[in-house]
Amino acid sequence: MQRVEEPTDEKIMHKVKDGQLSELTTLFERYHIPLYNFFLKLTIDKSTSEDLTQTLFYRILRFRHTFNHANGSFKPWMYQMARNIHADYCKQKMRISEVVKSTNSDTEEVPLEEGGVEEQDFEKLQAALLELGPIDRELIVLSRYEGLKYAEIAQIKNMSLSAVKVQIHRAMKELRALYFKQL
Amino acid sequence: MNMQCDDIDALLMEYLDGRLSPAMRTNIEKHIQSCAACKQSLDEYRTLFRVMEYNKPAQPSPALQEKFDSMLQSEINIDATSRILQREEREQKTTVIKRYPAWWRVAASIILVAGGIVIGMKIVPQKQHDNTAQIARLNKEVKEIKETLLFNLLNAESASERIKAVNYVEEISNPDQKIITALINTLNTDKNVNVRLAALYAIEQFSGSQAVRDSLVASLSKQTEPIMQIVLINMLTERREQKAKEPIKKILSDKKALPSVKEMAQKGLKLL
Repeated sequence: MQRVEEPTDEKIMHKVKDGQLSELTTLFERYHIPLYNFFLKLTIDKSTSEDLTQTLFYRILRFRHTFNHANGSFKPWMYQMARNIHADYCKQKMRISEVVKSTNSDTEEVPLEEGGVEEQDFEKLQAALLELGPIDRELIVLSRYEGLKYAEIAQIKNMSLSAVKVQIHRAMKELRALYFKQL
Repeated sequence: MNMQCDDIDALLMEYLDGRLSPAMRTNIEKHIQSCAACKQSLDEYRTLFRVMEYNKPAQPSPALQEKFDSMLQSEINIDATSRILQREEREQKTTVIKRYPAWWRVAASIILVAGGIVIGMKIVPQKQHDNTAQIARLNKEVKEIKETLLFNLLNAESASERIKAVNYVEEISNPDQKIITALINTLNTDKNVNVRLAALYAIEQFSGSQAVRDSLVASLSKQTEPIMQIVLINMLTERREQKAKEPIKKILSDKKALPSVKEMAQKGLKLL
């Protein structure tokens, strides 16, 4: 939620585009944690997620001239780039080796007993998310974790609004099944 | 399960998110009361949403911020340099670019305002005739604090901290020789080019002094990084510093120097 006096993402991005590069700091402050978590949900690797977040902000700077408010707002544009970076990373990783499945022993420590939710519930959720196909996982992360609207996801993924709704619903249904199957 | 249950299931997420019309809500609530399967679905979604909601965002390590800062500084430097080059190409009258990150300006103003408040609070209880001496003493103290901070930061491990230190000089009125020497030392010896460049831009404001210009001339023969050479040549020739002729000629005859640097050197030499 933005307060009234704070400039919009688009306004800031236009300043960056006009050469005020240091304005990017504000966008970094606003989005580096959600983006880091976006990558973390997809890769389950802390240092990779930091690297990808860093790459993302570098690309925002390098491709700042391609941002155009007329073609959509900042957030979908940024997540579109984040998706591309993740896709590049996956291709690269496939080329190098597929053998190592990252151990998730060093995933984040969440405070216990948060409103009746326990550490093992998060682990279960993480496992269920991992079992999901990559496309479904990404949809769930974008909509339920990153809080993007269906319309924004439709823009990012170049899908119709109804297709997004249907697919997210299906993905959530599957996640639900996977999660409760573990009980 | 009949058709209706499928329809209901599709709407349960919307129901929990509170995105349904009141009529629809009532429909669902009615159905739930009589259908155990759908009630279970709803409970499962509710649990899942709850776990997701409490699955708090993880915090990246401080290294991310650090890397971002130095990436940004480096891009700002590249951008500033390419602007100088472009301007030279258009052969327009030059003014040297000075850019400090906005967050730094904000931080600096906060420090200044906070400092002002501290001084203000200390002064208030004093009697009128004490004030001038008090202010002078406090100003001196503040300046000393700033200087100490700057010296400490200049030796910081991280490049972005050292850049902060260098930019911090702006906050010190009439910095003494000690500080200028420290800056020149950073300009010549810091291992990170971004820090050296930031130091150069900070020193620029003192280039009215011949001693400082002499140091810049000496530095020009030491710098090997093209970005440093370009900015230095630009600064010195703008000040019409005749002593810069020698090192500039040396760059021109250097086989290893980049074409864009030589071009800059050529143009600079014409100005002198």
